[in-house]
Amino acid sequence: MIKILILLFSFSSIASYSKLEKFLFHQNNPNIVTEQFLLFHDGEVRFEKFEKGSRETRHLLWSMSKSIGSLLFGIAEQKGYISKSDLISNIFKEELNKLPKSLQNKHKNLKVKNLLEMSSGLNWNEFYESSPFNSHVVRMLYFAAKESVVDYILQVPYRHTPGEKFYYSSGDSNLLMGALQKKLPKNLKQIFPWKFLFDPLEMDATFETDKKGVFMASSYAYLSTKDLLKLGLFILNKGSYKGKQIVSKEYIDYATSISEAFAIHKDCKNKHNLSYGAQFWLNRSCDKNNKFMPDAPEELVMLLGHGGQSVYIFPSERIVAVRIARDKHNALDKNTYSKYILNAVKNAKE
Amino acid sequence: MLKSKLFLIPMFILVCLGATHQIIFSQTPLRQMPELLSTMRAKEFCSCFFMLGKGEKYCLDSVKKGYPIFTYKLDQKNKSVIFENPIASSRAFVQNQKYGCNLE
Repeated sequence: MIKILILLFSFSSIASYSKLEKFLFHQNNPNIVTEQFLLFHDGEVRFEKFEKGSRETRHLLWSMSKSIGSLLFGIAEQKGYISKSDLISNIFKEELNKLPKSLQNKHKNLKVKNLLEMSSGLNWNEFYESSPFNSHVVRMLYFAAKESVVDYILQVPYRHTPGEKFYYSSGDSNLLMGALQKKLPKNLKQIFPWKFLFDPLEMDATFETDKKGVFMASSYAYLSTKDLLKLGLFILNKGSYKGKQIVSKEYIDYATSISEAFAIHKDCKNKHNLSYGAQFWLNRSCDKNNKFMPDAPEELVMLLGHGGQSVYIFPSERIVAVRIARDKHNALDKNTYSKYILNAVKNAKE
Repeated sequence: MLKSKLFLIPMFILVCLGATHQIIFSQTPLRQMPELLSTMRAKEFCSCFFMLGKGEKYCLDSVKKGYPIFTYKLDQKNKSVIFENPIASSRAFVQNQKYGCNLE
């Protein structure tokens, strides 16, 4: 009798995830290509599928690396090495001396907090797919990295006053890492990510640098699917891993709340846009009835990378979903994806 | 015959305008494009092949991005790769497992 009940339960569980599986792996849309998917809910992996590789397969995280940069900043801040209020002009005195006086003056108001919140005000061109040769990102990754990404970013002129407007910029993420590297003691500069984040989380990570040793948080961290899940759970558990607080709860709360810069941005009241914290994507909105994904909870936190790869964290529902993909044109609808995840978990429980 | 080739004139003007626009407004001046292509390919191939362990053909296809590949030299023993075109040559190599690929 018990065996029959277990069998029935497994069948109903498989059925609840089949719609989600169909949505991710069998869509008749060549722009949506899911390679791996892993769903964790309430203490265990409930569903996983690997079209290619396994849990151990490593991935280049592209923009998901930005959130790792944010966590590293959070750790360094709580250890007293750096602060959100630090001025860039004080951190990069030597580098700024090489620039024209007018630009040096403009950098005077730029703070570390502005970099965390993507509101440096630098006139950065983030777009690379439609026009790679016009992109600051492409130049930074393939030319500037051979020397110094910090020198390259600091010579970009201003579009706005720092802190005035949100503008998604990989330059902000790497300048943040440059500031961190500058402020760390010499013996920690190159080992900081492993000593204080990757090793305590038992992750096998690669994190690439420019020639000067600045970690390229804009794009170049590598983790396996298994470790991405761990990262999602780490956020879900507010910076705690196996009972040890690695990043403060306060920092996770700050990083996953709408940033000051985003709150004053026009997009905050525009339901066509996700919101942003400190290097994390969010579904929060200024107006509660106007969130980007109407079917997903307000507290949803996302790590989003090139090609549709993502880690979705649903704090109240205790869900983490890791997706490795090769999508084109952002083809997967984020709201529908969230809805399928929530429905699958709900149906499996019933 | 002449009439059928007339459409080439506006096309030629458009190409010239496009090239002028690239020269004036591009972050990457036209003369640096061959170098950019070779560095981009070297770095991304290095990541794809050595760090992610994907196949050689897969990695080559993924770095093509619609432009022809002239020569590339893969040195598996020293974990490095060189991409060359008639104007530029770039090398990327694996520093180690922690710090991944770097451009020379």
